[in-house]
Amino acid sequence: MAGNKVFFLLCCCSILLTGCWDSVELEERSFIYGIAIDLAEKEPGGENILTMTDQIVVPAGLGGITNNGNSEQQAYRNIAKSGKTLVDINRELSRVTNRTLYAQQLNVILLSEEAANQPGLLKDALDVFIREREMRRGIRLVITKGKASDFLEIKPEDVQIPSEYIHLMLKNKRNAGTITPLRIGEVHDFLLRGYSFPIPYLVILDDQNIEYAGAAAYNGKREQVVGIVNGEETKGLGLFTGKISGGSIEIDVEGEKAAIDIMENAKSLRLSGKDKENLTFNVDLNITASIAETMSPVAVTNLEKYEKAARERVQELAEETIAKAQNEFATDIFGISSYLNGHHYNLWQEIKEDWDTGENYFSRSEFHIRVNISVNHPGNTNKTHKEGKG
Amino acid sequence: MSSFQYGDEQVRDRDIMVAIPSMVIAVGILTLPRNMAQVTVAVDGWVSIVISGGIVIVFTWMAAKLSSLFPGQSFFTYASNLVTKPIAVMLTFLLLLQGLLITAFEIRAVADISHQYLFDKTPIEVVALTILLVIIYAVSGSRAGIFRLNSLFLPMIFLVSLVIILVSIAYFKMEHILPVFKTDINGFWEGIKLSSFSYTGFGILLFYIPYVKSPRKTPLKAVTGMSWAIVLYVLLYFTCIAVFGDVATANINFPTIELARAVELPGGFFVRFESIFFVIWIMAVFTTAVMAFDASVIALQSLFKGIRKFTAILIYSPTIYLISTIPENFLEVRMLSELISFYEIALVVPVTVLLLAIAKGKGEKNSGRE
Repeated sequence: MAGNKVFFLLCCCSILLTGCWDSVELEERSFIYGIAIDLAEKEPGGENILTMTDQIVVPAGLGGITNNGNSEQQAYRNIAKSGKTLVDINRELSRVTNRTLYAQQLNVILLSEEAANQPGLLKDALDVFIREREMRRGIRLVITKGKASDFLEIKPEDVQIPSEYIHLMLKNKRNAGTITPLRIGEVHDFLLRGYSFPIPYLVILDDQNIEYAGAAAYNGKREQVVGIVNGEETKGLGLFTGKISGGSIEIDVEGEKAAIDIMENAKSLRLSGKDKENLTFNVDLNITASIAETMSPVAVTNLEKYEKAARERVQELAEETIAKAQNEFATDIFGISSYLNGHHYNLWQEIKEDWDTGENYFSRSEFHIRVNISVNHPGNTNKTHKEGKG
Repeated sequence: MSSFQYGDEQVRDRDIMVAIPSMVIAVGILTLPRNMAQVTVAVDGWVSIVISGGIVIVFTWMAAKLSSLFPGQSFFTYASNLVTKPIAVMLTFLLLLQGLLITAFEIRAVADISHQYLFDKTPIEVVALTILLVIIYAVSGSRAGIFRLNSLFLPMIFLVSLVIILVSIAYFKMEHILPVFKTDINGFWEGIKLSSFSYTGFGILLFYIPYVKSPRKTPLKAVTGMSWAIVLYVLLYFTCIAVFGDVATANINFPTIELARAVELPGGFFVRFESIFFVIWIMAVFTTAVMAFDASVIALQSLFKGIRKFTAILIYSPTIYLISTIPENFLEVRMLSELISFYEIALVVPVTVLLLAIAKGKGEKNSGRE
């Protein structure tokens, strides 16, 4: 009797506990680290044909430090196909690979500027990355100058996988000319609300280097990238939004160059003129900085002079960027939409359809910028050499 | 086979306090933030959650009060005394059916969601069957064992949820929290309706309190337990909105899961935080399903004296499995969940209020006579 029960239990175990339908051995998986999306051609009917390039990690090529000498093998493999939907392309790609493609480790999506300029393409292309169950909301999005797939070929000496290089570069930047990495989850939020936003913009420098060149301005209503904000202007963007987490700004102190490091950076934005035809914003930028480098004969103890020079420069940078965003792009990349939604909800409901398209209240707004800068540290030393002149 | 006997088979007040949140927290926790975000602006939904929580607390107190008025008597017994036997039979049967529906729904929901996030190719039916077998195993054992499982699981559920909330703080965005109080009355009202769905399950009090030794303080304990669930709901809702924003939350199918997925802790291992979350969440659903199943067993045993527990389980299991396979797609699963919520509100609430009123009335008459 007891024997029968045990037998029955064993049968149950063998049915319920042995197999896993979904087991895929690690050796049989291919991990996609980066994806590049390019526009292959544009059909007259308006349908876009996309080329998607998957970068797959080849673990054998990664090796260790010890066998680096003989590793001729690349640590990655790029495969590309064209088609109309990305899922379809991926199915096609899986016919090329010897292993199951697996996107859990996907770090970065590169979209070429040309593709992002097509109205509606960005949101269509990203749909799958937000919808698919494998995808994480932390995937980074960047826009590239030229073909995005070329970026997956750039291999610096210290990192073996190009997309890992890009991913680390986005993450570790402490430069005023960059913006915080854009996560696909945030993009989802922006797209749903129809907000405009900046996207990190990369260019290829040479065979081994990619440069973080600034930001691409995406217009939420026109659903396309409308222009590029260059490095200096991106500093202005960062200063305006109060999101610079380090980096330096070049200033002019009595005719000679100097550089200050931004330590802290905060902004306060206030709507003062509520007439929607002529919205007026007061922007206070509060910056704490230290002197990083100076070639100026002005003594570093004379902080007022440095502060004055820095104030002028910051003001100039911020105003230039605003002017460009308002006049050239007519696109709110500063996140003022979300300020208005948060603090002036009723006004925002009224104007949101015409914020940076149509009536374009954004371009007609006025911004009064006031910079409060305090340079509070001269660095490690007062002078590094005897004054040559003066 | 002899099953393990605990030293004390008694249920204490404290066990009820733990049982309430264990029962209430289940599948609803995954979808609550989305439901709220669909009808309210920014984080205004907390008002709705708190209000509906307050209403539910009142009913929880009433249900606990009702049962504790008749210590040691089963629902069927005191209901028969209050409102004739045929009506008591009908009510018990309806409550029994509710337990079966809840169990079936929880099983289906776990199977569906694990199918979506964990096992792509494993058939849903197999996952559902496996879960059902585990639930049957738990129900077959001692009733005190279920309560001990609750006390074991609930702290973990709260702990992991709090960890998720804490690590999410790094992703909070101020602009998602503003504006405040821009939802119109209609939105709040919808929010109250939708969030009340997440509080279903306090009906089990009617079956469990008779087992409490001295149920004098039980109503208070039950209310305390329910308020824990409300606090957890509000915190998780707030975190989802602060991280994703109201518009994105409204469009994410299971915001709470996405929250666990969005968390990226440095160090590699915790990149897959959702795996821990899934374990914990399945525990939460498991306790709910076990208690709902067990309550149905109690109901059947009170209707048919002398029926063995094992027989009851044998009758129920295929029924539950069948019900859980009825919905065709996720929309029908959602409909089933709404049906269950309406069922509870339409059944437990009036029954509790009515019986309590009659009991009070009779009590007063009795005291008047003396």
